[in-house]
Amino acid sequence: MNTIDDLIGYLCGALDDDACRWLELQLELDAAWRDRLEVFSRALEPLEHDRLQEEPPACLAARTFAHLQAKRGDA
Amino acid sequence: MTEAEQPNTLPVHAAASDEELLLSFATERDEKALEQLIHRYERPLYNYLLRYTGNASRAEELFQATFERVFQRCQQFEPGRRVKPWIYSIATHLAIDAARRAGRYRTTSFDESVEQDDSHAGKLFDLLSDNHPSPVAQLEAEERRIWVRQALKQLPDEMRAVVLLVYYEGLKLREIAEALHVPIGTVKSRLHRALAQLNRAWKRGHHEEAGATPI
Repeated sequence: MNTIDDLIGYLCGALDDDACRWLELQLELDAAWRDRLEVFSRALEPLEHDRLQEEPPACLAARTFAHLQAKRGDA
Repeated sequence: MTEAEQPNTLPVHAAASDEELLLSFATERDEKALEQLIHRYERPLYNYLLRYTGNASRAEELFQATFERVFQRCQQFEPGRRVKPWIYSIATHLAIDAARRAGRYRTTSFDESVEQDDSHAGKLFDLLSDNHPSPVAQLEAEERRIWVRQALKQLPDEMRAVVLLVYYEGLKLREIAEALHVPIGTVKSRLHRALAQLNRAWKRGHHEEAGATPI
C-alpha cells in the first residue's frame, strides 16, 4: 500500500514503476503532497554532503580474486 | 575505473550484465566472469561497507568475505533475480554478524568514530596545503562530509543499512525488503525514522542554515 511516506522513496528513485506513477498522480492532485515532497527533499540534503566515494585500497579486487582462486585450488 | 585498471577480460565480459556474469561463473566456472564482477563492485561495495562500518580495514575484510560467500553460494542464486541486491544483502548480513561478534551492534559514539578514522587528519592537511582557489569552502565541505558519515554511524545498524542502500546505492525499496528479509513497510518506516533522526542531529549541530528540516 502506498502512503505519503513513499515520497522519500520517490525522491531517491527507489519506487517501482507502478508506485511511482501513483505517487505522481497524487502530487498533481494534492498540494499537501507537494508541500510534503518539499519537506522530504530538504530532509535529504544533509546526505548530499557525503556523495563522494573514496578510493578502495590498492588492488582490492585483484587481491580478492586471487584469494578466491587460491581457495578453489585448495578445495 | 580507468581503462588501465580494468581486469584482463574478454569484451564479452565487459558488456555482460551482472546476472550474466554470475550465471557464467556458476554454470561454467568462468573465472574471468567472476573477476569482472569483483572489479565492477570494487568501488561501490567497498564504499558501502566503509560507510556502514566507518572503518577502512573492516570494510576491506567484509568486501573479501562478501565475495567469498558469493563464490560459495553462487549455485543458490535464483535466476530472474538481480545480482546487486543479492550481493548487498550478503554484505549487510556479514557486516551485522561481524558487529555482533565484536559487540559493536547498534551504535558507537561520535568520539570513537573520530578516533578510529585518522585518515581525516591527512585529508585536512591535503586541503590546507592545496592551491585550490577556495580552501575555506573545501574545508567546510569536508567538515560536513565528516559530520554526515559520523551521524550515519550513530544510527542503529538496520536504519543505517536502509539509508545507505536507498540513497547511496540506488536499490529499490522492494529489493531492500528482500535483501534484509523484512516487509517493505518496515523499510519505509526505518527510512523515515532514520531521516528524522539525522535531521534532528543536523539541526542540533551548527548546520541549521543548510537545510535541516524536521520531518
